[in-house]
Amino acid sequence: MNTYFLIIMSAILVDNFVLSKFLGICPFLGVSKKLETAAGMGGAVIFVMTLASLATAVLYQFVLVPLGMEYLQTLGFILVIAALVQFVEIVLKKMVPPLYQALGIYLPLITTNCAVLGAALLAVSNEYDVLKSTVYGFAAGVGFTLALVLFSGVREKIEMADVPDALKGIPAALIAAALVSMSFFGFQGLFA
Amino acid sequence: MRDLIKPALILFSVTVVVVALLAFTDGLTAPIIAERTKADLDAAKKSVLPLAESFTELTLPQGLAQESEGLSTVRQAWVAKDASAAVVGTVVSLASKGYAGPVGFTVGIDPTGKVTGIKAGSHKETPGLGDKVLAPGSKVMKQLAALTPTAPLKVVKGTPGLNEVDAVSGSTITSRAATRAVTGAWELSTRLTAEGEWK
Amino acid sequence: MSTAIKLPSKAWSVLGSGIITENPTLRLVLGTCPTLAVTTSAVNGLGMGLATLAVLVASNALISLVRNVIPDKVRIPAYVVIIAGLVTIVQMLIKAYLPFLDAALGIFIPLIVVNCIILGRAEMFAAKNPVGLSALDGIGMGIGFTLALFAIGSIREFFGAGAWMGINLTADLWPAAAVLILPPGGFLAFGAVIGILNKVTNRRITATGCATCSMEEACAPQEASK
Repeated sequence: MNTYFLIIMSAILVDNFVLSKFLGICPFLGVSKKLETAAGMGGAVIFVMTLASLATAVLYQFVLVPLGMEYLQTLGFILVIAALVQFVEIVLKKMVPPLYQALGIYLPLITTNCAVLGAALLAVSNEYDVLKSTVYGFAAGVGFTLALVLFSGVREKIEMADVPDALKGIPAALIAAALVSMSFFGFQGLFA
Repeated sequence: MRDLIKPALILFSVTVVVVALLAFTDGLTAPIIAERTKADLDAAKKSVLPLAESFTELTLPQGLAQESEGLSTVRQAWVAKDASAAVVGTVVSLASKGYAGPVGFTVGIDPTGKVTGIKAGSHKETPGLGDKVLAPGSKVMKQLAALTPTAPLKVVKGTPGLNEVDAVSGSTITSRAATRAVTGAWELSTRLTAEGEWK
Repeated sequence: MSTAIKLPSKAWSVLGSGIITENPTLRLVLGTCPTLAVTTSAVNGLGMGLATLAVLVASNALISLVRNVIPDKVRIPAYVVIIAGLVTIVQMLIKAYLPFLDAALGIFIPLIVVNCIILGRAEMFAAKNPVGLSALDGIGMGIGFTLALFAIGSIREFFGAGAWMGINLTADLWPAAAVLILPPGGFLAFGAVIGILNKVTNRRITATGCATCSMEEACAPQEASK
């Protein structure tokens, strides 16, 4: 139980996927302008990441390792993720239309989200079993969402502020992200 | 449905070609990678047990990893002999959970249970914090290299007593990883006779 | 669109745009994950840039070669398979011949597969252009990416560790701002470089490339002149 707690807390706070590991930056900068869109993207990401980590861990443990073809990791994982996203999109559209309305547009973006593939690859390099990998994927998704939502609040404020022309837009966002990242750095000693 | 078959077949063929190419490249590079990993490991083994000239790998008994926290980190172990084929100790390769994932350690223990050397492999511990702990001359590594454990080691803050290691504050997890590895190596060595056989 | 010198043939303008006017990192803001993560030193930035360059050129060339053979329906999955294969090959070669780079770049080598630059260029350029031009586009974008990464890496290494290319410069003279090597520093350095560039070239980026980088749409640059 303790290990799982540690995995979850590190992925969310101490070693946050976006602010510490730099995974998932593209959507972080692109989708964090408004709170609603950030929350929507975050929800979609948590859903996909949990499933993706589960699926890729199963693929690795039960297919690639027994066949001695671990080098097919990258290829296999990205195909699984792409297929998963397509599948989720179809299922959501048919089964839960309101959810599809809310999250649907973000789904294609998630395939190229470094965080999804990153979590899958890290779970393998950390030698996690299938259950731990799934929990890790879930926690990483939550960490991503946390960073995204917090940051959208910050960005909404920046839009109102008087920023020098050269820094308007991306540079201001990046510098603000630096500060948010620094604040998360304070969690470093949490489990020391 | 029919107009899906041709595209699917083409996609399948592309995949097959790519996989074949990968298998080929893996065939070429895997031996090179394995050889270098072995050469690095050999050099690491000698650096933690300088008297050693040759190493014979030990087969680890089933269920060893379940016996204690320290032993769960053991990955491989070798009996080290010097030029006259006398046993000079054991070298153990371990993977101990650090802050950012498992950290590889190589630990040398002589027949009296004294640590002869410890070395950390490549890792991703936090620069400036955890990674300072694992640097060769660090406070923690120096303590570990001078120990002769008589019981599983503990990490403490402040003056260490018997079987205790004073950690670096802010990097306790990394300090624990190193200590756990040494504990594992020592526990394994206690299970061997002076000739390097399992008791 | 092109730089001050009027470049004659299409080939040169393709090359030049990737390096300067449409620099993937600093203008199109694509491939941000590796930009932030591996620029902790000049050498790491350079290594990552070159690895990406290799994949980019190969993938652009290959995809351009098969562009008429692959049906539209399975276009994207096929591209992904080819790119993933190339990335895995590069990863194996690095593991075998450049192990220090493997240790430094870690999972960001396989993550080249989701680097928007590669799929974006494949979609936008290689799928519609002959092999030669596509390869040049790959080279241009790759060089642009490498230069940007090298620059940011050098800045972070110099101010954050007082060194450059592993050679200690000011490290022993005064304590360096270690924060630059750590995650917050990545954001800071990247933001500062784009800001300075905007000021110097009198332009401003209004939207990121990757926000619009879905599998169907091409990653397009969006700029507004001052």
